[in-house]
Amino acid sequence: MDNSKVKLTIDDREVEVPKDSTILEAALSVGIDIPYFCWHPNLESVGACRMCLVEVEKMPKLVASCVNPVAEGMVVHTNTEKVIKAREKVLEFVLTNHPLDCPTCDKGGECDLQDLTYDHGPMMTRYREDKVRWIVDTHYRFDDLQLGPLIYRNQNRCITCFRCVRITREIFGYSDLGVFGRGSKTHISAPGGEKFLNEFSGNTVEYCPVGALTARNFRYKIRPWLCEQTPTVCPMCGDGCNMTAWSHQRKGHIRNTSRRNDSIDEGMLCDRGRFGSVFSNHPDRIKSPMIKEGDTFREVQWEEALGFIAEGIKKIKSESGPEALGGIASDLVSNEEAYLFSRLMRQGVGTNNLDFRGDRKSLLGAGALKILFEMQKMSVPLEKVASFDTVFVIGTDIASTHPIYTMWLKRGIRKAGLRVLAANSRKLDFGIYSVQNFTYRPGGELALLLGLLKVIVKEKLYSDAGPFRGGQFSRWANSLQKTNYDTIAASCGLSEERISILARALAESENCLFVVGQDLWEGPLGSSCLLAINDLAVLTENNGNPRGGVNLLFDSGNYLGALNWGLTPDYLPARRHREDKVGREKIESLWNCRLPEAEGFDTIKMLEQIRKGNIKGLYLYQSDLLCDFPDWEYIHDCLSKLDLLIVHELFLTETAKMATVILPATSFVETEGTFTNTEGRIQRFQRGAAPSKGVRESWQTLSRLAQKLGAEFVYENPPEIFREMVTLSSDAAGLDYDKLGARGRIVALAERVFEPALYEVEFDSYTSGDSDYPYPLLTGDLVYHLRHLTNYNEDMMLVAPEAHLEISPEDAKSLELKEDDTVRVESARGALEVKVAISKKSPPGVVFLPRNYSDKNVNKLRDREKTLDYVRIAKA
Amino acid sequence: MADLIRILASIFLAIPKGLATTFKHLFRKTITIDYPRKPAKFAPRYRGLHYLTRYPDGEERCVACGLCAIACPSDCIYLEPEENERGERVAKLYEIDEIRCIFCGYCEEACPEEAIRLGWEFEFSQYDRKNFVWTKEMLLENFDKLEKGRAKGFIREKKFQFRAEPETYF
Ligand code: SF4
Ligand code: SF4
Ligand code: SF4
Ligand code: SF4
Ligand code: FES
Repeated sequence: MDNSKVKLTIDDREVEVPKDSTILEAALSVGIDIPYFCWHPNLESVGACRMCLVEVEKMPKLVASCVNPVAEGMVVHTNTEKVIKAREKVLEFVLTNHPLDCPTCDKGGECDLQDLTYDHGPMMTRYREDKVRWIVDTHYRFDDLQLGPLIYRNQNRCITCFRCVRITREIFGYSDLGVFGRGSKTHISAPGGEKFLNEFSGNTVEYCPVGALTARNFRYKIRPWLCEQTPTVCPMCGDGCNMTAWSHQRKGHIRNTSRRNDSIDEGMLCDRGRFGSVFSNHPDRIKSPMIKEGDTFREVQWEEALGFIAEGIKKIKSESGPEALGGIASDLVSNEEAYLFSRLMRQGVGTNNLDFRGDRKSLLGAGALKILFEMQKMSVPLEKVASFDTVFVIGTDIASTHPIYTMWLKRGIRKAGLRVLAANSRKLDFGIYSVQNFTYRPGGELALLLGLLKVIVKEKLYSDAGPFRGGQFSRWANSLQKTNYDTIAASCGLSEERISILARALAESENCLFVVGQDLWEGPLGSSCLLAINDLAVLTENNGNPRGGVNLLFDSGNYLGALNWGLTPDYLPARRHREDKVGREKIESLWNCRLPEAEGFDTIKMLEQIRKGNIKGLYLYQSDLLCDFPDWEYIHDCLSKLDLLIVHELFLTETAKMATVILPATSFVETEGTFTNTEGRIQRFQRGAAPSKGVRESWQTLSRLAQKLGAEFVYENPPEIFREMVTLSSDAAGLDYDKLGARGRIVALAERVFEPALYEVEFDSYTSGDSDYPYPLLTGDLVYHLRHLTNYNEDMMLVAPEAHLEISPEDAKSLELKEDDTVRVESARGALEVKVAISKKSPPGVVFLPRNYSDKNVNKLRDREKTLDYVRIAKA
Repeated sequence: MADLIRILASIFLAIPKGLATTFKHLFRKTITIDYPRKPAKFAPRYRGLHYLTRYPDGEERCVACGLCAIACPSDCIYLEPEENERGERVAKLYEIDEIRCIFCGYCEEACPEEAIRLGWEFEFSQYDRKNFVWTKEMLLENFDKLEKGRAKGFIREKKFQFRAEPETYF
């Protein structure tokens, strides 16, 4: 890129800007205001609205400043009489056909057209003719047309700036919104009567300068000026986009808009975050503590409930010791709450039986977590992703799990020719942007990694530097040759040729980023995959190299925070290992207690102990174990065996209905604290709405309960907790809660060169299904849902209301199934009746069922003992 | 001495002077009215209890734009919009806390639909403060009562208004 600067004069001010900027950008950079409609910092300029006219000396006419580049010595005037008059006339033109129905328009109060007309517009219109009016023939929504389930269009108000179409196409790569017609008949619509529906559709509403596009969740809701705006952070995926939560005194949390953070989201949000995180007002919210009596729950006072819990815990403790108790939190709680829960369980209850992962068949143990922590330190900030020349995404459908991460990849493709290589068991789809898919068989990820290592070693695609010499290395290289390509191909379903193509692409790239999905490292072979990826990254000279890197993806809002702040049995807060003397003493002196010595159990082992009758009491903190755990029968059986089941939850979930005691929790808009996103960035969110009457903030509940259990810790507010916990960590020490700033802080990034692990890959050869159950069943989150949380959001349930079995067109043909046919999906465990969706994302022979629906819970088909679940499909 | 006489004279003379004024007024026409036995009369632009108007076909005029609420200096209007079955914007809730209202008429002035008006009713004292909240239904009913009066010919057209004024109705 050309970095040279040019000098020009704008309104008698000397301005120096990069050569390729436009006059508008130059003016804005020094704070000179030029009004505009169609320009947007993330988009290419098109010059559609003419609002940004300025006068340039020696130019015969006024020029549109958003499309005209600066030049050396240019003299620009933005405030001459000519310009002012031109602006007035442009607005008069814009308003000729504008309906001026501000009283019924949802944009009223935050509308660019209103504001600019007020500042620059004419006082009166001279247009006396009839206005062109678009009447939607259905007459259903008055003049509005529902473009998709979430978006309404009122064509009368459109000023044809094309921002919506450009955002959809340029930034997100979708073509489901277009401009049709010309002149006064120009209109915005979905092509061919299709629906306008993609996971980023909400952005068009936010960036439409007028009320032509409005959102369903804000339709005729409330005026923006009556709402309070609070800076918050999206908890719905690991990207941690910054949002503004809008809440109203009587109605609570209503909607979200973006809060531009150029390091993360560049002012964009996905629909799961924008619409899906509005669930605080759902009628199923738990409003008061409850104790089970017979088959019903009795509402009780806080003190009674906490007393009851304390009694119960003390009783179990005295009868069977603290090891008979356990706690499972969730990856959606804030860092402060994670720390507090860890403290409550370890200090108050006295056990290390603690976890937060409830949706996996196998979990990373302490050793694997150590590798994970080391690798996480190398992660690359989101804003840098677009500057790589190759990105290798493995083990995740990143478009569904990390929408905004995908936006950066698309930006790289568009602007810098980034090449995205994707290895996954389902295909990735980036709209008009291209992804090279290498689809492996479910369970074949390790085989693929081995294949890649083999090719790289065989073809000597690595550099001859230090770590790749010596006996140990050649021994390792030889060990790779033990497995032949046929076995690998049989396991991962990719031929030697395909694997070689991928391997060469990785090795030959200038700088390559490895993006590793959670499904990969939390899968059955997780720790092996991590080591193999590490070796692969070192061999292709990327890891530790400032030009390359490895990014581990954490799929939910605060997964990394929960790991960091002590929600695993072996790691105390601040990643201090249980057996690390120094860290332990530090925590003991801070907490003023003795930490439990005994080894703790993770979720899976806890459940085994519950089954055996060794664990009698379980504290579930925002963990919907019954719905999430990949074996419904088993988990149901386990939970019903418990003497004491404490459920501290937002909603009356299926799990909560099994509880002995229920405590209401507070959601992210009702409390304050920090989240850690997938990059390791600590970001602060603030309280946007008061919790409903009688609900205590979760951190208060946790510390009050600890007091009842005899552990004296009292906090004033979450910032105080934060200040205490950072003192424990060497990475985060010195972070000031009040100075986290608008962008948050990335901590624990190290510039350390990674050592090759020289991991000897071993894998079981691929087990295929038998003839009874031939189809491997994959599951995961849809792009519109996060586990079961979004079941409590109207918008997301409208967009994706029910479970669909996604099968490939080939399978649909051979099974003679059509879209929306009902099928019976059967496994050895159980059966579900669902509708069929034919999806190009599914490779032949593999089916996918989302795990987001409690009525069609895919976990009823799953068996915790099998690494892969197989099903058969029959027409119902 | 002379001073003293003057003072005494002024005191004694003041009494008949004052009484003369009183007597003069005894024979004048009264300004006060015999309320509540006789109806009170108001200036045409008197600002009393609010009402919400309707179109001739019975539709509510209010589109729940919220401009009255934001114009109100005493912040006593609360409203929530909703979508009716034709997709139009109407008020779901419309509440005026009349005990907080200062009857300034700004709401009337702000309204783009001529929906909220201030009427002539002033006899709405209540025993409980809670009862001073007029809901949308009550405000519409105020209008309906007014219309009934109009139909019976109680109400003469009001000059400045789009419709009518009461003379004797309230
Ligand atoms: S709908 Fe909005 S964003 Fe799209 S062209 Fe019209 S005014 Fe611009
Ligand atoms: S990409 Fe993730 S963090 Fe960003 S808005 Fe969507 S769900 Fe929230
Ligand atoms: S009359 Fe004045 S104080 Fe009363 S509701 Fe209207 S604007 Fe508010
Ligand atoms: S009364 Fe008038 S100003 Fe008030 S909400 Fe209704 S239409 Fe708007
Ligand atoms: S902003 Fe320049 S033409 Fe629209």
